Amino acid sequence: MISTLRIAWRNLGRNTRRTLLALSAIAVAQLAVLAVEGLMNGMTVSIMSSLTGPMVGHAQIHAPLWREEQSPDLAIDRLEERLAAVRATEGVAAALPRIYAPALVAREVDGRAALVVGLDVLRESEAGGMLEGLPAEGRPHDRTALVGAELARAAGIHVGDELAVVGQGADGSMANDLLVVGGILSTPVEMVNRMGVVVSLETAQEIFVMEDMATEITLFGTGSIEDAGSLASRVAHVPEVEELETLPWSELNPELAGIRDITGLYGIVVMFVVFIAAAAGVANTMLMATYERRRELGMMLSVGVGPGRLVTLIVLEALMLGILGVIIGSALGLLLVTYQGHVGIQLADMGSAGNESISFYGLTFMGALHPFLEPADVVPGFVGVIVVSVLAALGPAIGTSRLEPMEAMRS
Amino acid sequence: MNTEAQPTTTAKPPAVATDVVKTFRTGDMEVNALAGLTLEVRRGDFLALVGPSGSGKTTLLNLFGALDRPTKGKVEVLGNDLGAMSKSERARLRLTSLGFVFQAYNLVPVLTAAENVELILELQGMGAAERRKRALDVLGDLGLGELAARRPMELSGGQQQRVAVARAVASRPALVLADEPTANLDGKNAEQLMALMRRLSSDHGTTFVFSTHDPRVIAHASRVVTLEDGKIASDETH
Repeated sequence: MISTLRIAWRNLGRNTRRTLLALSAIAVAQLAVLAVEGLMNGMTVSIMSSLTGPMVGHAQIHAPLWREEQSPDLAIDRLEERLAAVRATEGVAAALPRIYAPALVAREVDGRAALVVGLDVLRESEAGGMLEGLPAEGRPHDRTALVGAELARAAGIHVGDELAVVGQGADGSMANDLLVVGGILSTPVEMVNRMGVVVSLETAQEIFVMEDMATEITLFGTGSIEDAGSLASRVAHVPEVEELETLPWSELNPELAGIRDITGLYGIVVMFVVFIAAAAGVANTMLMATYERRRELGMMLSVGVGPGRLVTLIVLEALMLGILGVIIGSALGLLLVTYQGHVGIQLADMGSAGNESISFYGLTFMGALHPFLEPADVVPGFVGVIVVSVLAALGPAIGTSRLEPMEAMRS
Repeated sequence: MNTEAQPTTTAKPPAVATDVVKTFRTGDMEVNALAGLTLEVRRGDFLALVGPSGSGKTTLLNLFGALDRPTKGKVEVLGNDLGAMSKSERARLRLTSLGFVFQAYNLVPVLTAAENVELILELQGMGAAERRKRALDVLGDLGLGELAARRPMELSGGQQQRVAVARAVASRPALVLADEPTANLDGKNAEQLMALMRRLSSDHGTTFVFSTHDPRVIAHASRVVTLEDGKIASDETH
């Protein structure tokens, strides 16, 4: 076996140009796979952090039918009692009461459709909340509201303006009030940017006659987003909220849950395509190599090297070529993804010109993607190359080993 | 467990051809390379196969080397009937009992002289230290000790053929077959190679069968078999 390994290894150096070409094909394939994997990892993290970020949380509690009708009279009552029970449940890191109430807002005469969002200002200002990062003086209070950036731009709303808000109260009455614009808000939540008028929970409760009520309780678990299902099912069994609907994010937004599967599938498609290219490179190299060396291989068969040993020799050569190529590709891929992860890929470069963000399924992704790789990401490349190399070399190897020794030597 | 029949290498004659016909088909034409040939190679023979091109020398060598099978008749190599052996059994026989020296393309180009000699020994299952010692001993014996670490392309044609002889005899086979081993060598190198093969034959009792056109090579033979049209025209012992 030592000689077989030695011959296979040294054969790689016999036609340096051809070997380098095949190595390049395999290395580029692995580099492409890792670059895509890195990008997908970065995107998944970005998507997941947006998902579990301010808007969606890990799970949500609503009154039955609220999600279908979004009517203020379908709010959650006995809010404080229920919140206390939920917050005392194992695995619950935060339970944030929110009010989402459709309303008309008017700065002067023309009204616009808006969504009044009532938030527990203190809790939402903590890490992960919808108001995270806002300085204390910029937060909504009393009748001071924050207006989504896009709504403000479209309606010509400025800080200091007075806004009239008209909507429906939980008791069926007409709800109306005057708010002062305290700031313009940009959040990762597209809906809030586009339609949101953010006020404190107490203000929203007063405007919409929702004392001790909210339309939603957003839940964050102590575990990861993957544990959202068990979090929701634990909370659903808390007696105080048993009659309500508690659902994990994946059931609230099945489309978003599908993103992870789509990104995985995309990676597989890319891998399939690039490995076909790598297979062609290896197959071509091994076909040419075995064709050129027929006499030599015939001589080896003549002196007693068995057909099986010859197949092993040719397959080993292809395997070494493949593994060497994938090691080079992995090194280059790691360098590239590490660099990209360090500097980040600006989402503006991926989305429409002039925007610093891209929107997808109601979530806005801002800033930069940071691709990264996990150790397991290089494994499919290695496995793929091993399989591809063996398959690509088997044809020429078996063909040669079946030759009669003298037939091969005469060719 | 290997259930394949192991080739025998008993005290039977190294090679026996009995009424052997070997036919090659070229398009619609059939050519009888051997036409009912009968020959027994005796133990210790240093036998030269001579005759014009197309007389059947190489065909007969290939049959004795278990590289081919007869169309008709019977070929026995070291007591093994080639007609009854599978491809892998013949490969095993070649590995364990036969040595080969070809005109060209004798050596694995990416292996050194010593590694080329060791290759067969390794395939036979010999341990690393023992086969290295054996290879260096044989190369030294053939005056190639200082060239053991060189690859074939760093050796002259004569040196390459001597390495091929070293490889052929290193495993101490019962029968060494050489197809025009001096065809690509000048007179001096051809003379040296034949003297070397003759010495190995007499020192170890190894049987050599070689084909040649060269009268200086024929002069070394202990037995000269002349072929014409696939049959034996003469069989002389010197």
